Amino acid sequence: VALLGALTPLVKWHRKRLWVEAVFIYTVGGLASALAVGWLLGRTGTLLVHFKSALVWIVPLGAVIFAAREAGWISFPVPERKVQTESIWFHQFGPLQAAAMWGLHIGLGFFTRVTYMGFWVLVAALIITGDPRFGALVMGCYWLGRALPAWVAPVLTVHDDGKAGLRMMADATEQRVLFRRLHVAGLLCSALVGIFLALGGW
Amino acid sequence: MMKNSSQPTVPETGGIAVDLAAVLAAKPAGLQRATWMFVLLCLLLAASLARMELRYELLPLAGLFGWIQTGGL
Repeated sequence: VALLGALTPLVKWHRKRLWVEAVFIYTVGGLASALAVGWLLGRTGTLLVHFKSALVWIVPLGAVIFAAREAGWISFPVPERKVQTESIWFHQFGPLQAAAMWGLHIGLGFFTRVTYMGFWVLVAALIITGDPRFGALVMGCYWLGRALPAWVAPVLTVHDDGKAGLRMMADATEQRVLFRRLHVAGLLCSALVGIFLALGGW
Repeated sequence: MMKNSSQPTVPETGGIAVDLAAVLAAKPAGLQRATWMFVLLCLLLAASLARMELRYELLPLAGLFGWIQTGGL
């Protein structure tokens, strides 16, 4: 959101080329981080290969438990750093360098706030899979989905007041029920995939 | 909380299928429509990847999770 709020107004300020460069750098920077993290998760899984048969049910079980949590049926704390990336980087380093740093930072996944428990399901799945290249591929897709709002923000927030980030946040707040239901649906889908994978072999 | 009065409101009472039907009927703008379009894209990708290895189903799910993570802020 810091990036959306900082960079999206560049479009309105007739600096579209700068906006494209910044969002591109943000996407590439985050992709590099995400690929590295995915690869490391898969690599970690290769060290746990002897426990694989015992671990395969963690994904569907965890996904169902997290879905119940997202639905509000149960409540328990999850590990996370309750911080977002540093918006001040924009003023310290300029839009391009800040975008790169934001991408590298957010792309790591573990070092900023995790609002969706599906992330932890993916982490567990990649460790169990124990395939570094597949891990990188999955985390790359995760990042591309995560970076896509930065690309479409100008389309979604066509306002003349230069408050695109705030508008985006307001829209997200208004759609909280929608996202909560998607949280649950996504987790149940991953539980289903996890069950089939556990039965058929990772 | 700011509200964009140009966006049609969609009832939030039904399940996901009901909401989807309402969204498609109301043709809302902005984040909500983009999210549903992205969900449909992921479902199409998942359906096409189902012919390959089952674990590839995690790819569109991961993309969707990423979108939800940002949109859920």
